[in-house]
Amino acid sequence: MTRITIDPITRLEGHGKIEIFLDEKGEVANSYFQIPELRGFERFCVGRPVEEMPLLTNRICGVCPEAHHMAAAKAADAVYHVNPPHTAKMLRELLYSAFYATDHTTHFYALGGPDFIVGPDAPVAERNILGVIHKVGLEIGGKVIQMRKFGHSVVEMIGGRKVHPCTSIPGGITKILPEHEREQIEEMGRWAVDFALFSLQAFRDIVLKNPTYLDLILGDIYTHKTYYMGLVDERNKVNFYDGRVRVVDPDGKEFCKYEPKDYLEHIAERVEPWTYLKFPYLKKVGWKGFIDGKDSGIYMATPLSRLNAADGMATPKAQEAYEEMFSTLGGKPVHQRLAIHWARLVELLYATERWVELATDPEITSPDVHKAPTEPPTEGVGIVEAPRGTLTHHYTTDERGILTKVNLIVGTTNNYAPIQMSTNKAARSLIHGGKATEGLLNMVEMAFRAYDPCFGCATHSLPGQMPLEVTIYNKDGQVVEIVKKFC
Amino acid sequence: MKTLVIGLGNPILGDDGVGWQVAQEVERHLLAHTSPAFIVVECLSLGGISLMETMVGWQRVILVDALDSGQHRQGEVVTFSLDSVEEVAGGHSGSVHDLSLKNALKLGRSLGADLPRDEDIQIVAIEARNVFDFDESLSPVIAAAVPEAARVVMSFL
Repeated sequence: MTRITIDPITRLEGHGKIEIFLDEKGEVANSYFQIPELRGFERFCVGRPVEEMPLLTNRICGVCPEAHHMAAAKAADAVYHVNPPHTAKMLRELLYSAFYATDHTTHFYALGGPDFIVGPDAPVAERNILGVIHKVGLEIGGKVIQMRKFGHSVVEMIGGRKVHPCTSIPGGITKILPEHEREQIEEMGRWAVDFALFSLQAFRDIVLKNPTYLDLILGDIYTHKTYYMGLVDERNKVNFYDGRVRVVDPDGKEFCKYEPKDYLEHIAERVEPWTYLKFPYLKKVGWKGFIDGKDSGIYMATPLSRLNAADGMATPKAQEAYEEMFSTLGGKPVHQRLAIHWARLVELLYATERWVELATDPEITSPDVHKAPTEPPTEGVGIVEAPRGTLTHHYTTDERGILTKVNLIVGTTNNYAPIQMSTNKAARSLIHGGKATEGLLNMVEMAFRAYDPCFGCATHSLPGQMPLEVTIYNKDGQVVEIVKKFC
Repeated sequence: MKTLVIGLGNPILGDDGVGWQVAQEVERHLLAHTSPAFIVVECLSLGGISLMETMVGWQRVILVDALDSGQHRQGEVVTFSLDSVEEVAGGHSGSVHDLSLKNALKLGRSLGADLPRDEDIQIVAIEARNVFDFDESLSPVIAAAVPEAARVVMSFL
């Protein structure tokens, strides 16, 4: 049997890699996608006061600290049985909307965009944001940086500091929004809406008008029929900060809708011998292996899942973009994984519209931003939609509020089974006769890149590069070729 | 010369927190002595584009970070400038979500941002292995390297 390994060999050594096994004919027999796990975080938290969690958990990940800050704050509210004032919730959601706009922008232009804008077969040295700018002009690059600057500014104004916010506490938030900052936030938000519209137009012009890319999106290689998960508001519209978790089946029908506190009734985790990370699945459907369909409990939680799981978007322009996407792709639900990139842009537009909506709400500058907890702490669950999927924090404390148990299901973990299926299917479809060129391997990588899995968590130690090593073994286990590449 | 000293790392990931501790040591020293003007010390957990964005407007940057190269003994302090770092990442990386710092700087410069040159970005790195497990303390061998690393940073100021 021939073995191909796509392995990030720096920080994630021994973890986070794709291994592809070929049979005697050079066809793919099977593949395994291994995600790195952060070791011991839950144990590290036990014994600490629960109110530290919004500060501590935002250090888990260098990519989405704001998401952990919010999930932790909501879980801490629940532990203390306190319902924050309306303005506090709005301020948290405003911060979160600005964060989403920043994160989705960065993903589309720096990570996902190069595959489409520069092309999956382009030389690796060009397949990045510099290549994107080279192709579409400096204007876009300038806007990306401007968008990020505005997003960081809002996070700093409401969250107390850039990137790693520190103002959410059990019962609300510690900082009132002054009028002069509100005005700036509104102005930045209006610019951001235009930027989101511009990004969607760029996607239409560059991707949708290119038949090769459209075929790639719609093709069978990147298609799986699974359940879809996302938070929805009381009208079943997408919400990133609050609501109930809704799951639809592969036909798009509601399968269940539950309160965050009930997540354990609906989600179970499968252990496989070849990886440290567990595979969450729908308990009431059951684990049937890495297969598609209604009888398999595998679900996806991504931007596309959120759009599939909801009945629409809560803001007008995003609703139009939502309708355009589903009508172009043949109705709901959309199963083609590469459409996650498009869904991300619909969400970018929603995030910016919501940003303006919240910034112009008369109550956003109210001083009523905190309600002091009065009940003894016990147990609580907080769920938000992180950009990469539904994020669950579950804490149990003693009567002093000291943590005795912590359970986290992070965005990427939800998608572990679908990513495994997608990379396996892409490898089977693309690699034949033992041939694995850089272009083909990039197309296998595209299968997991659409999910934007969180590899880069938590550590920033040098050298900070992410080389992939492809090792090909013959059927006797001898190395016949090693190809090093960088993604 | 307007200089930014950045302690880089994650303070809850064991020896990855060494950059912060060195930066804090440097800051204590600067506060206790008469220090040259235009020196600012920061502790950050950032990479790629975000790290580049913090460098806008500075003439020189000194980055202090853990280095997991496997080529030095643990606790060894290594210095080099960014221009001597081979740019192997053609594409997105740093993490899969981001660019390498060198590419992020190229991006920033191509957009007209006022950024230091690669040769003016000095890296003071401390070789470390335990950068994956959650821990707020440094290994003894890494903690022992903090004063030396701080002296090296000071020698550049």
